[in-house]
Amino acid sequence: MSEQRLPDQFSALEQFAATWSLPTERERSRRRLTSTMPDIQAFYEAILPRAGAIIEYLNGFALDEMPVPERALFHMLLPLAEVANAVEIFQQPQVTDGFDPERFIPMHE
Amino acid sequence: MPTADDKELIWTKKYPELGSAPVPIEPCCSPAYFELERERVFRRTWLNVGRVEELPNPGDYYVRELAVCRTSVLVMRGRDRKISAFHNMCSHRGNKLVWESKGNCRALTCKFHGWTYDTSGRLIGVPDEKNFFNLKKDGNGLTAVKCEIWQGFIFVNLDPDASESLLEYLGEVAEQLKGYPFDKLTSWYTYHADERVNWKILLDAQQEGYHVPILHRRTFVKAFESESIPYYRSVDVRLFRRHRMLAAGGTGDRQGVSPVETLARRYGATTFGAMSGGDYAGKVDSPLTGTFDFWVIFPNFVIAIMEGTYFTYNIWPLAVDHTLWEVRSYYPPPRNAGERFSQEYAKCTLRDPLLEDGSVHEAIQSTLASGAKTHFNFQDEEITLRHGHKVVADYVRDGK
Amino acid sequence: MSFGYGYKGTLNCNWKIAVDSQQEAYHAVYLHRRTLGDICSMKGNRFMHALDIRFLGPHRMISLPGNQKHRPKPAEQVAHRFGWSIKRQDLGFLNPAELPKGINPTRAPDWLFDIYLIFPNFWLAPFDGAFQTHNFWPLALDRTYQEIKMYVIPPRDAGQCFSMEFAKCINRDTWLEDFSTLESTQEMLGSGAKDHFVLQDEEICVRHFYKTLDERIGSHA
Repeated sequence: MSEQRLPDQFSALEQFAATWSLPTERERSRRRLTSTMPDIQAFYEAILPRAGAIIEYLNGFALDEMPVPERALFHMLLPLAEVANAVEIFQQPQVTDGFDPERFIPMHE
Repeated sequence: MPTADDKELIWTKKYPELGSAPVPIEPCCSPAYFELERERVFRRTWLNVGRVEELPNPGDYYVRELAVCRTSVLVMRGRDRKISAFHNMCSHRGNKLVWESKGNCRALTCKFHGWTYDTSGRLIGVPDEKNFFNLKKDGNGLTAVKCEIWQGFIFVNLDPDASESLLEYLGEVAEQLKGYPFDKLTSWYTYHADERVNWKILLDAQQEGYHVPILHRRTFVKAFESESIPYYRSVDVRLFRRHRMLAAGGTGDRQGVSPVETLARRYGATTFGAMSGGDYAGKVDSPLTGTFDFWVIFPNFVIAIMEGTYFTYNIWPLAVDHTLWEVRSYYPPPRNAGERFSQEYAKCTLRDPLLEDGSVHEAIQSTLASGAKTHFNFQDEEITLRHGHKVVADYVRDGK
Repeated sequence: MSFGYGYKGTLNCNWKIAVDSQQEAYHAVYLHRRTLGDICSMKGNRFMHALDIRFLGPHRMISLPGNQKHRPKPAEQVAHRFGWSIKRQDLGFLNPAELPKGINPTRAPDWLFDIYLIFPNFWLAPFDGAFQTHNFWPLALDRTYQEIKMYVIPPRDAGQCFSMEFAKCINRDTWLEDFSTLESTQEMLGSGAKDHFVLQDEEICVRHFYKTLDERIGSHA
């Protein structure tokens, strides 16, 4: 039986946790860049309608004291920000005609 | 033409003005010399950048990165079907206009601010145009590069003051290649090799046959073997003011032909069949001197013709010890599976000997900078190398 | 506010090419048509003309508007419930009664942000709810190291974190569009095909920059 990562009331999203619950920007950005659009679209369509409820729920926990399942859910909420552009703007994972993202290095993690 | 009695020193006797002294190595590893070659050779000569068949329709374009000339060249067929070439640079603030290697368009738009050009390089669209100052679209099109075509080969010249037309530049070469059916051999296969080698070293390794019995002992040496002449001898060597050719004479299928080679020859020209002068489908009488005529058009373009197939090299310098080698082999458009198979075989049996050639290029360059030797020692069959180094040195010294 | 996020990169371009790309908004409508979209183009001002441009000695300032009728996309709608992004102008962080005279100097109701370029190489942009810095460090004639940093109101809960994450991703993709033209421009500058830039009125800061440099360099010749 595979391990349950997310809080019980969000178990419907469990199938995405292994792929999309990612703690760093580098991992989330790489996931976006190396996924197919159908996979990105499926994740976006599953999480967007629940994003408000997820935030309401997680806002009840202090940021640096989240229990493990809530932290996993939080790390699955953040990739919605990554894939939004892929789905809503570019219709592809990469920035169209953009600079090489591997050379644009985050300073915040 | 030499006879069987003339076994040595044939070509130096034909062209005594080149002398026979050892030739300096330094131009092949000096960054300063490379910069002079950049300005005085590559920005002053006609350079091949492709063929007309790459642009079949109006609006077709392709880009050639000419790093040695510090530019990117856009070659385009206009609505009027005329082929032109331009620096691939927007007139507004210099951004590179086209980022893809090829395509088709009605117009080209710069990704920075949206300036738009038509397929003849004219500026036709400027967003927020009224906010400029008497902007004359006429004077702000793409900067043209001289572009002329010979036998379907597209050449450009980066020198805006070049006084010689392409035909004048080619001189006798154009005369001697007249009648070769380039326009029938319009299906091609391309290879790129990125090598840590000086462009002249690469060309030198390819423009003599002395290496054939050793380097190609496993592949196509048999095409040229002869009992009466134990070492490689060209059938003819011709040196012009800048360009040169050597002709190799195939000696037939003296040791038999492999089963796959036999099968492939039923449907078309194979590399070995063409070089050896054997029999194969599609063998067309062509104006050759030998069975394999290797033409070098100064500075960096090779056309090697055989009956029923030919190949080209474009040797692009990137730095004193860095070169991009582009090889294309040409065949008639295949009409069926057999012909396609034959070309696949011909292409592979050209590519494998080229891998044998490539194996020595970087090895040579790696030793040159040591200073252990200061000169090359060329033999008579390497007169083409001597000629090549001399023409480059003339251009570097005199600018022409 | 405190440091929220930032990016660094070394590009094969002259430092002035990088600065120029960030001291005019003429490019925004076309280059950022996908990321910023309808923020840049508004009724009566299709090309994001500045509210004001001022020269302050060797320094310069551009004040820019944003489209008040911008239509946020779905994920953006979630993010904007909780915090700032470049596409949201009504956070209300800045108190109009206490607005410094150099921020939204024309007191425009559709003000989006100002750009201050402190000669020679420091770019500073106040928004309503965040501010951004951009440093351009020349390493060689054709090599520049850049750092872009956003300073934000520190997020205190998951919703504010998500809002900041969204703002960061939009900004980052916009900056990838900005960076995309720099090396390609530098590559062509050495061709000799053109020997001048052709500047329009909204690119006057580029003009001022080169004039200031000429004066500084010339005065030491």
